[in-house]
Amino acid sequence: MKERMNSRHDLDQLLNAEAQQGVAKLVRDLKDEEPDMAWRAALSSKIMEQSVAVQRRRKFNFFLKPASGLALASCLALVVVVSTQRPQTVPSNPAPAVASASIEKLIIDEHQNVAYATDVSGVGLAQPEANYERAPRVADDPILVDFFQL
Amino acid sequence: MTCRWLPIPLSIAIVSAAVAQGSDAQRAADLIRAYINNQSKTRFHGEREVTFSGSKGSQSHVEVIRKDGVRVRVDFPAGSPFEGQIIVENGKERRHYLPARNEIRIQPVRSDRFVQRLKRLIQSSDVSRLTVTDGGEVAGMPTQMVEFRGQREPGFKLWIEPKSKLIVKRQIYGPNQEIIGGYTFRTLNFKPSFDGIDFGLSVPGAKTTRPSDELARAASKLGLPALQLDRSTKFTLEFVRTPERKEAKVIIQGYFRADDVQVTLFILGQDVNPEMLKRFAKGPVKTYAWKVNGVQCVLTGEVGEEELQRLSTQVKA
Repeated sequence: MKERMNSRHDLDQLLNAEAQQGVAKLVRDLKDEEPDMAWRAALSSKIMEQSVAVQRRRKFNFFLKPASGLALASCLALVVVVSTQRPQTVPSNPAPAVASASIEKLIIDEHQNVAYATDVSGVGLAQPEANYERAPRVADDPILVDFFQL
Repeated sequence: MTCRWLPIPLSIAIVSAAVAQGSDAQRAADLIRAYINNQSKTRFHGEREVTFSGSKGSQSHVEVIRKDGVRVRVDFPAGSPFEGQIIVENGKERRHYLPARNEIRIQPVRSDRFVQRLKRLIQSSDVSRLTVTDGGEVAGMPTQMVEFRGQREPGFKLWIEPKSKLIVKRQIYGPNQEIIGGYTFRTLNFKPSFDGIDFGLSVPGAKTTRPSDELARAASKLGLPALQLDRSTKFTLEFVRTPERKEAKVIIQGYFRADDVQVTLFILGQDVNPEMLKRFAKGPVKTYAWKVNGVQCVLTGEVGEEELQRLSTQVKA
């Protein structure tokens, strides 16, 4: 008990020492800084603003992501569908406004008829032969018939 | 929240459809391949209706076909405008008998030139444009219908009988996707007897002619020079025709090369407008017009214009 009393006394002595008093004064002289209310309010409003922006962005993404996904899928679907559709072939050289039976047109038609004719009939009678070799005409003249009967 | 995941199944569905289409094209190509490989082996006796369509309507005729491997004989039934005519092919040459003239016209083997086109198709990227569906019954047999929707060249529909691999019905489309013709078998017998059938076609007393003879005859009749494409070009003259037209004298010559490239040579008794020719030529068809000793000549074909120009130097009397 006596020992404890002695140690407290030593402690008081130490606290009352000049150096300790100097530090105590320094601490007492420190300004007690209260947080500025205006700063707090500004901080709160900034936090609020940011949370609203985040919410807005989330809402936007909620619609944007599926929409862009759908758009991409639609594009893919379009590519698949279009690539399988029968092309609407547009003549590379539209027929000029001249007499449809011009010799130039008949030359081109004849060439194409020959190409297609064998595709159609294979080993059988081809279209030009069918036009040229009909019995009644053969009797008249074997190789002279109307130009492009079809 | 559900719609956020919607693109995933949708994309899977699209990808699956694309994959399915790919396998569909593969199945169609396999059917065509089987037809090509079976070509020289098939034996049958059948009757088919052939139709050619044009701007002035359609015309049909019936052919009776007997096929024994590479040997083929085509007859025309009684009442047909071609009654009495006979066509045979034996793998080496084609013979066409014309009774009205008592003439046998000898031509290069035509076989089935369409097979060449099919071969090219299944080796090209266009193979992905093939589809296959159930074709229903043709000549009493179930079929698979293979369709090609051409982009650069005309399309077609083929009805293939899966067991025999034979094309029992065919429809060919033109450059503007209009039907230009086709055939449909009405009857087919895959176990025929060919006893007594002449695949050689020898008619006593009939004269034989070749395309070069026809060219000489046509040139003489029209007073035009018998100009033709030199053999060194590897193009073979397959036919000669002389259409009757009051305002135009013209000899038409059809040439084919072994790889199925076709060019047509026109010898004309009048001038043509080369620019107009180019305007009418559609798609891959090219033209080249020039004169030989004042005679107007035109070459057309699905080869480059430079190639036509080169070939024109090989057109000689």
